[in-house]
Amino acid sequence: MHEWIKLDPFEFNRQERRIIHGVAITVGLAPFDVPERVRGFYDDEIGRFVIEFSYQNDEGQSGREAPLASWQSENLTLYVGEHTGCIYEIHLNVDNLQVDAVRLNLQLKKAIDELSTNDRFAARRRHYELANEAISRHATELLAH
Amino acid sequence: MATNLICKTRMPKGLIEFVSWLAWIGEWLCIGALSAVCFALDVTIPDSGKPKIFLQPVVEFVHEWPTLIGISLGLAIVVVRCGRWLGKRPSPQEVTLNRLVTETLDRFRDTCFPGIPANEPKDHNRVTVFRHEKCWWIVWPFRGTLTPWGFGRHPWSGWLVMHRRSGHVTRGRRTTFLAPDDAQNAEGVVGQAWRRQAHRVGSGQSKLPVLAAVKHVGAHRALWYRTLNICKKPTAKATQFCIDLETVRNYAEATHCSTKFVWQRIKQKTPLPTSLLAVPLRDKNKDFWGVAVMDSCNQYECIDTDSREFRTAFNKLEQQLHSFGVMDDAGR
Repeated sequence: MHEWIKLDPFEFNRQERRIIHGVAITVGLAPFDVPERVRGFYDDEIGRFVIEFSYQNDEGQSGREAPLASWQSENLTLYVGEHTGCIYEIHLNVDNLQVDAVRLNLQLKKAIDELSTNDRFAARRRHYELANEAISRHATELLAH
Repeated sequence: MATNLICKTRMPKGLIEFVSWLAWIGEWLCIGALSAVCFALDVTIPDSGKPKIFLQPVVEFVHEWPTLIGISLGLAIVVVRCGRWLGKRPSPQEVTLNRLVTETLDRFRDTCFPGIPANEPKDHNRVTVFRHEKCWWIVWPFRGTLTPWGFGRHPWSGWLVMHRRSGHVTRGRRTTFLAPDDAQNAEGVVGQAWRRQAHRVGSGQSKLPVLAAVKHVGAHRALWYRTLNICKKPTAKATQFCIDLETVRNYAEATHCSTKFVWQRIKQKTPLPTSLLAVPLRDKNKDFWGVAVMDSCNQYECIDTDSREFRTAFNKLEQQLHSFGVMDDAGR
């Protein structure tokens, strides 16, 4: 079984803080929108390298929602939740794309920019940037598999 | 959950049940009478000189006043039905469920506000669950003079309604906040969490202003104070009124409410929190269902949403609310 990499929410969920008339106002992501774990592995069945995210209520009563392929290019496919818009899986065509940490970061940034232009996912941009940052920080460990 | 207005009085339990039973009998009698009226209207009254029919005086009366009788019986059914609804008592299952949900919220409250002394009032640190309703008729406090929903708003605007609360106090009044489709006009910290994510107002040394000392001033007196200030001859009370106006304005701006909303709560002497944290809740389909609000009137504020304790407790709270079926009757 492929090992998960645990993520520290304090490290990623940087909250926006402002002081208005002496009152602190803080805006951050809700607990269920911050990924808890990430892992990377090559899936022989589909012939793609998969980066998978896990969220805190995935194993609860409702389970994980069905991910939809919401952004596709020749070498990269993003699967996001049907209702939440959270990124669940990223499929990379490593046969075509020589994947290293820098190229992966650039590809993901482009995918996030284009996904955020969709009205349905524009409000989730902050979450996507967080997912991208999580991958950037752990790219070496993820791609080692 | 039915509103038990009669149960909140001191009427004995047996009397409530008797009145409820009497109302049930009365309702069916009215329905029966309405049916009899319709039958009587179909009966032809024989001419004078011919043998009279059974209960002819009654039939003649019905023929003479059909509209009045019909409307009276209809209104009687509505009044009796309202009386039964108001006097409805929760079933044993509802009582047990309410107790379990309250205990769940109390445990979550203890996690969110660690270190609270045992003798601290329960209403100073609360966890409130708001449910989003697409249609809601009874809005409190009133937003407008002509309509309770305010100018340009209506029952179908979308509202966040208080659904459950921790503790055993401050549970009677159902505060509502506007949460419309045009989300930039969402009301309150709870409305901001509904339209985006976790939203915290007032933390550390930068809490919301304390409004406990602010006194509500009537319209005439307020006008007099403003006049004094404009004429540059303010009294001590007029000066204090100006300071209070600014304080209330800052509080309203920070909490995304109108100053009228804040003044209404000051008038009712409702304690206003100095620290608020709102986090959205999702139903089983992962759609937004409502908002959980942790508010505080003292120095104990809710722990950080990124802390392991909060995330674990919040996850457990959502799972337990799902298992109790609290999020099933979304009222959509």
